[in-house]
Amino acid sequence: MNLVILNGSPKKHHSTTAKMIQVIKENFADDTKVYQAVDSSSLEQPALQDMLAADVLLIAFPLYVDSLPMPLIRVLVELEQEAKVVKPLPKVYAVCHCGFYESSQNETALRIIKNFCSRAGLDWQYGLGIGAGVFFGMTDDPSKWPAKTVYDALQKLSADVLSNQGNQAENVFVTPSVPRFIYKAGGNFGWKAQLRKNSAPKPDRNRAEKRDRNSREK
Amino acid sequence: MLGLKNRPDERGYQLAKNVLILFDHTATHYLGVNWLSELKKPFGEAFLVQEILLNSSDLKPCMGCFGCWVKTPGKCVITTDSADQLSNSFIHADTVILLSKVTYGGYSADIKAFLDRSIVNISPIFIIKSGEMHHKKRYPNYPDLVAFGYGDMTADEADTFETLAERNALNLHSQRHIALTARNRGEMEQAAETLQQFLTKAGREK
Repeated sequence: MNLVILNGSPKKHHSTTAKMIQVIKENFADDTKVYQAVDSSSLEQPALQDMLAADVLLIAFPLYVDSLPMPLIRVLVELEQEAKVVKPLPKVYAVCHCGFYESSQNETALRIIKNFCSRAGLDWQYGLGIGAGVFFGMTDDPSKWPAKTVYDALQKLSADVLSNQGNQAENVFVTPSVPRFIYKAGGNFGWKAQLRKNSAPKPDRNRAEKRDRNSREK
Repeated sequence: MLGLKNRPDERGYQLAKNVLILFDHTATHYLGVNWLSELKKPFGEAFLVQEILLNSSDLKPCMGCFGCWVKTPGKCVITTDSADQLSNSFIHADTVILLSKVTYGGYSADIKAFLDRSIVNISPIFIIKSGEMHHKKRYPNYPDLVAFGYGDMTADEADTFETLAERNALNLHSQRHIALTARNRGEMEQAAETLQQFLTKAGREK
C-alpha cells in the first residue's frame, strides 16, 4: 500500500500539520513521501505524477480563512490537469485543523477537497476536521490528555488508510477534551503575552480613523 | 488597474459608496465572457469603484507566522508586495466584491492569496459570536461582502461557494453579504442585476 502525503501548510517547519502528519506516518513505511504544497517543486510534473500514482493521497492542512491555504489550491488545480492523463487515480483522505474550538468550522474546507475529488476523478473517502488544533501542536505527548481524542482519530484514520479498502464515509469531527471557556481564556492569555513579549506597537489606528470619518460623512 | 468615479454632493461630501472589486486573472476572459465588464454593466455612475487585479504569483503566500497579530499588529511582516496596501483598501471600502472563478466551491488561488493575507484586519483575540469561536474586530467598521463566483461549476460547488461566503462574512465581520454565481453570460446578467439591488439597498440603509 503506497501512501503519499500532501502537506498544505504554508509553514515549512514546526507546524501543527507537520506534527499530525508525523503521528500518521509512524504507522507507515519510513520512506513515505511528504510533499509540501508551498514548495514550487510540488507544482511540477514529477511530484504531481507521484501523488497521483499513490494508492492513497492524504491531504493535511490548516484552515485559512474558512478554506484552503492558497498554495494548496494551486497544487490541486495542477493535480486536476495531471489527473486527466493518469489512471487509476488514488483514494483521498483529508485532515483539516483550525485554531477555533469548534471542529465543525473545518466543514467547508473538507467540502472543497471533496468537490476537487469529484471534478478530478479521485476517489474521495472522508475527512477529519479537528478543532483547537493548537493544543495538539503544543502537547509534548499528544497520545495523552487533552489531545488524546485527536490522536485516536488520527490513528483510526491511519488504520482506514492501511486497510486500503473503500472507506467512503461521513466526515469525522473531533476536538481535544478541554472545555471551550478554558481554551478561549488560555488562547487570549497567550496572544496578550506574545504582544507584551514582542513590545508590539499599537495597531495603526489611522485605518480605523479614516474609516470612521468616511462613515460620519455619509 | 484603477478606475475612480467621484461624485461629491454640493457640500463636498462623498455620497457615492466605495466599492472595491478584487478580481482574478481569468475574470476578463474565461469561457468567452468578460465577467468583470458584465458585472459592472448595471453600475452607472452611482458608485465610487476601485478595481484591482489580483495575481497569486505576485502576492507571497501567508506564512502563518501571526506576526500581523503579535509583532506588528494590523500590518503584515511581509512588506515586499502590495498585500498590506490591499488590506488597507479593503477596510476602507463600503462593499468589497470578490470576483473569483469558482474553484472546487472555493476561491481561485489569486483571490485566496489576498484573503489569507487579509487577517491583518482582525484581532487575534477570541470571542464567541453566533455561538462559535471567532476573532474580535480590530476596527469599528467592516465592508459588506459580495462573493461573486463565475465559471463552470456543479451544484455542489455552487452550494459550497455560498456557504463559504457566509462563513467569511461571519469571520470578517461583514454586516451584510451575498453570494452570487454565474455559469454563462445569461446568468451573469441576472446576477449583476441582483448585485445592483444589493448595493443600492445597502446605500439606503447606511
